Amino acid sequence: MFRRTLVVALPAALLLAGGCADQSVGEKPGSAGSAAADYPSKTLQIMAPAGAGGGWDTTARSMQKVFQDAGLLKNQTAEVRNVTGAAGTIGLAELVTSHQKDAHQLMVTGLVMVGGVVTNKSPIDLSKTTPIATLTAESEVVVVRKDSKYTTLKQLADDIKANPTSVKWGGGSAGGTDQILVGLFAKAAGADAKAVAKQYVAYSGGGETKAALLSGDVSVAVSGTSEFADLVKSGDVRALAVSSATGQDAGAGTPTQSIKEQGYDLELMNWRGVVAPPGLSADERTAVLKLVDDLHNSEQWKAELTAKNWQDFYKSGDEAVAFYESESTRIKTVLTEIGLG
Amino acid sequence: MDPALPPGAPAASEAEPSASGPLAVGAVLLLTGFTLLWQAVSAAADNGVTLGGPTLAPLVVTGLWVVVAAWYLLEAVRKRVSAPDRLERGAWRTPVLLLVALIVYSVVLKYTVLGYVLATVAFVLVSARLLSTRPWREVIVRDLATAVGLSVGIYLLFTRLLGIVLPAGVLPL
Amino acid sequence: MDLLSGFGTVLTWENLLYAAIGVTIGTLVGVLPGIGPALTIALLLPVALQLDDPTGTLIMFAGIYAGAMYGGSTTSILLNTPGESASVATSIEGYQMARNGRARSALATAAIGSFVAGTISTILLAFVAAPMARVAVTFRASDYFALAVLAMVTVTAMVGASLVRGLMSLTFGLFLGLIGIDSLTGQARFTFGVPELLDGVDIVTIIVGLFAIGETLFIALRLRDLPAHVTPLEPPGKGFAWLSRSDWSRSWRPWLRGTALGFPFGALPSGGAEIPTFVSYTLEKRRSKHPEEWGNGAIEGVAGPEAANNASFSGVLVPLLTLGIPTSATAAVMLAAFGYFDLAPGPQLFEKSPDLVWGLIASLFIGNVMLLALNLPMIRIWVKVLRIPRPLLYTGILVFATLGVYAVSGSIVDVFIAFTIGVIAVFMRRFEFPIAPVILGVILGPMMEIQFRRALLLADNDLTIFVRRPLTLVLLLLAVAALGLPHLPKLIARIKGRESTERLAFSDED
Repeated sequence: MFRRTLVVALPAALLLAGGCADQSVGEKPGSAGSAAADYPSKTLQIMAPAGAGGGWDTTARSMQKVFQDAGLLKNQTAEVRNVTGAAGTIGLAELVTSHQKDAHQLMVTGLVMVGGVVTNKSPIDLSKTTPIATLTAESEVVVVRKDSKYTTLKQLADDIKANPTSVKWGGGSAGGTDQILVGLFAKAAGADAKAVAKQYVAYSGGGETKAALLSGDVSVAVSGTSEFADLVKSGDVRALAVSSATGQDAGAGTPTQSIKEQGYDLELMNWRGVVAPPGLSADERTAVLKLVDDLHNSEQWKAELTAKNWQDFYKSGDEAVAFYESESTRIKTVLTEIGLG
Repeated sequence: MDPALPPGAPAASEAEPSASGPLAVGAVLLLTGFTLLWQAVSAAADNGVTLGGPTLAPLVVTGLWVVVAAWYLLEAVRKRVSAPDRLERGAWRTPVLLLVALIVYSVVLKYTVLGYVLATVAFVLVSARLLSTRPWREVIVRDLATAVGLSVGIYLLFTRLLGIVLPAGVLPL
Repeated sequence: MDLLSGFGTVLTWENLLYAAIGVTIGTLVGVLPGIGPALTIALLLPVALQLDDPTGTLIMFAGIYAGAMYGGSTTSILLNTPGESASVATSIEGYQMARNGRARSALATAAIGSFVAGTISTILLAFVAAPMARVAVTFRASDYFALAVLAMVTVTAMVGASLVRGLMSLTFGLFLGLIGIDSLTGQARFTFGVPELLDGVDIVTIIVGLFAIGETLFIALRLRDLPAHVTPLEPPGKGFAWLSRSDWSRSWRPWLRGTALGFPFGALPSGGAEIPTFVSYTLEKRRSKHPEEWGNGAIEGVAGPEAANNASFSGVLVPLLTLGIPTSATAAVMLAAFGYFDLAPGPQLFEKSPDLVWGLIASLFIGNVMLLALNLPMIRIWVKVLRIPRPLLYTGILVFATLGVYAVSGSIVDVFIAFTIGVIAVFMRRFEFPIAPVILGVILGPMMEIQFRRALLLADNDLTIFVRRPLTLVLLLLAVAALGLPHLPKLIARIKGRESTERLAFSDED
């Protein structure tokens, strides 16, 4: 088709003219050994693979701010740009195809993209990138209305085991973190995961989910803990469990037990991290790792975590690579099992 | 391009007397409708149709498309659709060239190192020329001043005040 | 009283200056085609946050909000390039007024209507927010479906003179709304293998294509037939604030009716600002004593939808402040902004931090007043936009339209989608297919489909869900009545305008 030809052919031709000039800046041949000392040697590009104002965008802009405020860029600057669409897989495709071997291109990513790759059947997944680190994470929370018959997670687990269609779930977009948690929980509870996940109703964003729980459309809602904290605090809804490893305060003032602590082998964090394009040399990778390490160790980043109410969730280097891989496998499995793969 | 109205259609309606314009539009609409309906039907055949499923609405909407397009075509055949005024010969040239300029402009923005300011200056000059009916000598100073002012102004506003990255390109901005 | 103390903290010369700055930059960015209020606020928030003084930041923010809302309608009226779906209804008659040399009156009725609606709805917000939010969250999926059906049959006036062409436009809009991943099952529909289409076609892209780009290409097509200047401007008539006595008397009722429609609708968690603007347009058209003016610039068609638009955005603050539920893109951006002010919207907000809430409400008032004070005189300057030579004016529109789509999405595919829709829009204009029904289809289609399917899923595929709930049944019966009896719509429109909107929102029959 005309558009596809244009999209592919024209840019390719122009890239030859334009991209080469772009890449030659600051990459002196033979300077690989001192890559870490030189890095960054030009403007650092941080891609937020979603629109302005969302979680990835905020993370990217916080990184940009801290990089500059903490003086980590050796007199270079950092820019944030947004590439929106399809749970970040469009940005992912751009990073992998147009910015290979460019250590000055970073992208914010997260669990949502891992799921998006599977549900959107994206030909490019995160294994094609160079994982650098995970930075922050938020726990999920399972909530019911205050007049709900469920007071413990066990009652809920027993109910869906006995009758998978008896509970209507509400949460964010289909195949997103919330539905993944429902699928994993159904599995952990020994219920028919596919049948349970079919009772999940997707809403666009936390606001609609809240309204649907309060109006009685759904009986159980799943969302990020911060989303329901105020309603938990006011007593309008009851938090049954959080999805982190150990319990934490979901708004009630006292810690809510985690799913794991209540006897179901399941832990799920909605994490965000940062990746670099494929094809970096070992030195370049070390340089990027050091930069992100410095970011994480800076006082400014700690202040940013407090200000944004983010949990620190730092894994870097090989640990990050292993984590990206295990998450991809786990998420792909559960999404396939509930029929969204 | 988008299936609804391929750019092949304008050429046809330009060449023919404009009374046949609605006929051509109706035919294109009906063909597009059938294509889309076919897509909806195949999706429904693959996944099944249920009242609460995702395949029902496409069937309803594309079905409606076919019915309404057929109705329009019928009206056009009966000459009950008012045909638009005849255009001068070559009237389509300006919008087509403008569209080409737009496409080139956005491709240059995205894929070359020319940068926002230079690309916009060039586009403004071309577009203003296309839309103008006066000889270029009379307006070139005005156009050039606008082009530079507009592109530099936008660039500074967006990158400095609003924090949106626009390609800087070869200029040392 | 609480509100008075709110004014006490807010009313200083310094703060008024912040409000003025906020309104000005909000308007300036809001007028850019393709950049609607949500984006304007998101973009300008960092500017407000640079102030050290939290009250000043809040008030500048309120000014930006008011300015962004109004800025969108300015370009809709002057150039027929709305930046968001809620301005589409305003642009229909507003642009015609501008074309007939009455741009000043159109801008004035929009500004004063915004002020009236903003003020009344802020007062309502201050006093009925909590009980209203409790009622609004009782709306269920089946109710929303019925509401969308009712909206669809009441806004038939948007379809225009020819039924077949109006329906074709509507169908095109419905089709555009289908493109992308189905939100309930994750299944891709009509994406033609283009990954950028998975998220659907963004409404801003559609609007920019249909209006800014379509209009410009259409102008280019008829270049030689057009007069040298864009619009002859009539001398300002006698009267106050650019409005003649008759303009005033024709505007004030639409302002109030628009407010009455917009506020409760905005308060519904899945309500939105578009439907009340379309309903207001229809309502005013039906009630008009000057039916011959519609399509040529009837002032009621600007006054009503513009008031509805502004009132609905204040309505959006009801669930946002009391329950922490953002119900529109603008509200989601505002929720993020409140975080910076340590303002945690939710049930305790009014008890825990009354200073901030009343400060915010007082700020909104001041933002509104400032908007009127600045923008009425500014009309003189805005209309000069129409004196810009046509080649440069429309080139500027193209530059901003491309920028609006590209800068936001970073995707060239989105830009090409806007161009494609622009080309389609040229043919629609040439063959007299109305544009507004496309937007109607894009907004109402997905709402009807998703809420219908949600309701069914939640009821285990039991169709009786649509007759079991009294509220759903009432709404559906109203829709059937509006459709079935040709004379009844007028009656319903009359009832709707006077009482029914209140009754809908306050209904506690279930």
